[in-house]
Amino acid sequence: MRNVLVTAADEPLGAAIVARLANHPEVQLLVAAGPPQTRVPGGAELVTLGSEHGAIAAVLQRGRIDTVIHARHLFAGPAPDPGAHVIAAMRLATAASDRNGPVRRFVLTSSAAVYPASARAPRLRREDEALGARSGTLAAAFAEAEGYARDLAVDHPHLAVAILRLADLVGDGATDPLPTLLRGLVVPAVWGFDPAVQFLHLEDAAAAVDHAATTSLAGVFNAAGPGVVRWRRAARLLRRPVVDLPVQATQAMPFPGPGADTAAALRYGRALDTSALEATGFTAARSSEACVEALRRPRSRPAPRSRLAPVVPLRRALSAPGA
Amino acid sequence: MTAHVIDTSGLVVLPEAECRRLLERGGVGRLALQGGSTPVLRPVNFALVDDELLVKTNDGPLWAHAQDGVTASFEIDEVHHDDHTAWSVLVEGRLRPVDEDEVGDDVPLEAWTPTERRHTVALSLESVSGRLMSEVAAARPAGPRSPAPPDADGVDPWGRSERARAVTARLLEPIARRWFRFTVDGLDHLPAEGGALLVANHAGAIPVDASLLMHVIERDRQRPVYALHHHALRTVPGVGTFLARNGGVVGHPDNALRLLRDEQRLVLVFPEGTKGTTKPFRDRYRLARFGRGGFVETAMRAGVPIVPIAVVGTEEAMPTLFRLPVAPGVQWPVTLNALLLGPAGAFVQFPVTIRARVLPPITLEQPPGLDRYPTFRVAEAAERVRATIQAAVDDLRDQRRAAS
Repeated sequence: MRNVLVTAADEPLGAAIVARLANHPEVQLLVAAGPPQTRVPGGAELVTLGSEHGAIAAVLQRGRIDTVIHARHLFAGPAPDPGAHVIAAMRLATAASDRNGPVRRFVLTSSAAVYPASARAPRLRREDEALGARSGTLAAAFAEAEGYARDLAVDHPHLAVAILRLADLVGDGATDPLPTLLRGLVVPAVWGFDPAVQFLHLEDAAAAVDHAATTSLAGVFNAAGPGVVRWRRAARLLRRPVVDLPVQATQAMPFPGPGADTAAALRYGRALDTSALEATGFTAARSSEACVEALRRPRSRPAPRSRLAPVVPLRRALSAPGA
Repeated sequence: MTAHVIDTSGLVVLPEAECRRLLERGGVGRLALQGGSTPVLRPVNFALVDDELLVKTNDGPLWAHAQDGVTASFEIDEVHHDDHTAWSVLVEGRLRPVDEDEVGDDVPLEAWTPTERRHTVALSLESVSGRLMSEVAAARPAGPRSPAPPDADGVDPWGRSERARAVTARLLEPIARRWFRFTVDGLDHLPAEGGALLVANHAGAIPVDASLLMHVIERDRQRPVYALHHHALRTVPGVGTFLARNGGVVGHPDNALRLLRDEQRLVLVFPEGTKGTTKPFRDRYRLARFGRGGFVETAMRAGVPIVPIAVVGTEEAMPTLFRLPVAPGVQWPVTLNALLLGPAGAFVQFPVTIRARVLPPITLEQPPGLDRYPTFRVAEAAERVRATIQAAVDDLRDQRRAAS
């Protein structure tokens, strides 16, 4: 992997991936895509992907990008925007699909939220589980984005397409639903339930993406910190009082958005079978319980999510000789 | 019985008991005799009687060899070309002639040949061995993964806590001993190590069979038992967590497979499910059909034996007299307890004697790890298990009647 494009460099996950790849021995050109004010480490070039047709393809062509990492995370920022998430994945997949183009690897970050929390689910969710997400839910948005990546893989055998389903992220700036609940003044729980949950540290998520790109992984892989943590134990480790909600408060009309899935997760939890990724040689360094410990440190302000950026001319890196 | 043994050729070794069971079916096998310069091999009808293989023959080399008491080999097998699985059983022994009078009329031995065979020859079972061939079994890496350890609070990834089990044991022990006078015979049939699927009949509006069985097995065999339950129980606040802490696991096939194959645990399942617990009293001890046999398929895939368990007494502890339709599709069982004891009848069971019998394990002679098992084989095995338990239930009831 020599020339890499990482999207959503303004989000915590994208930024972590860019930071990690900036020191990668194999990477010669690292292009970080994000809004104009985004900070990127030295060694990475910032570009803003305009919304006009062909803008992304031009970036891929000029940079001879052989590895595309779509790191957009639905849970980044205050309000998840499923529609934009799906559209971004679609545009990127379209641009990467050009058979005459330089792209050979495509890595998509997805979320464990594609597996809806439920009483009848197996203890460990496997990648081959049939996803039956109700339209409008977050799970459906993740599934739809994954669908584009999957189509990419099916129709373009020259591409190695990897989809990483990440457990709820913890780390600087991450705003995933369950960790956010654990950081409040009080931790909500559902009376009579003590679910098992998993987390993944941002650094380990970046390492997993790095591993997928470096080894040209193909397929769908769950990624999570080894082991599970019980919800009330997590609250205790963080020395936060627990407020028990009656189950009726969480069982009300199912509504789309983070609320419904989080409500179910507070009852039944969600844990992933990570043996597929482990078989390829990657294990997250920080266990789920260690991730809870990481939540103890004071949280830094998350990077502000910028509004839609205006079209900006391509940076000089992409007009460098050899491009 | 632990996970199957694989020999150096990558074939699964069949235990001798299983080989004998396959020989019991009779049919056609191949007999090998020392010929002149080369061995002679021929198919023959055979039957297994009193630890000997009987074969019919006329005057000829076989009859002559039998008179001389020479050694011979005998083989039976079954081959499936579609999935490249096969099994073979080999017997080595000594031949002897059999008197006409020795052979009873009920011996299922008939020669398919048009000419009559006058003599009967017996082959002793001096050595019995068998192999099972399955690409999947040989390819799988040997050895189960050890179960993940419990967290610092003592709760394991399934939600089970040994501390909770200890508290439950203290509460259940007097109830098991004095209220129900609960006894289990045949506990030795439970393997000391390795996975096994424990299958029992289910009864009583609020079944105590699960808790009593788990308690006694854990107390007397010192092995933890996980019990599969309906996922609806997990949705009830408190109940789901309580069940999990005490070894209850939602009955999803993936969960069962992990417990049996990966962790080699004892897993208890009641295939009758709610059909068992909502049975009216007049249908007591008639085991409901075991569904499509999903539990059997899981045991096949995990490569573990099935241990049938018959339980008698639970039907009388909380008998359902009739069912009231309270909502569309929902029938509320009205128990004698509720009629006599009012609200307390919801959880107070009559102090009847409950007896359980653990039966010998059933090894399913199927290669483990397949994606799909033929439905008729699964259904046949499920029915065999059901019939075994039904027979033991009837026997226990007869014993109970005789004792009173």
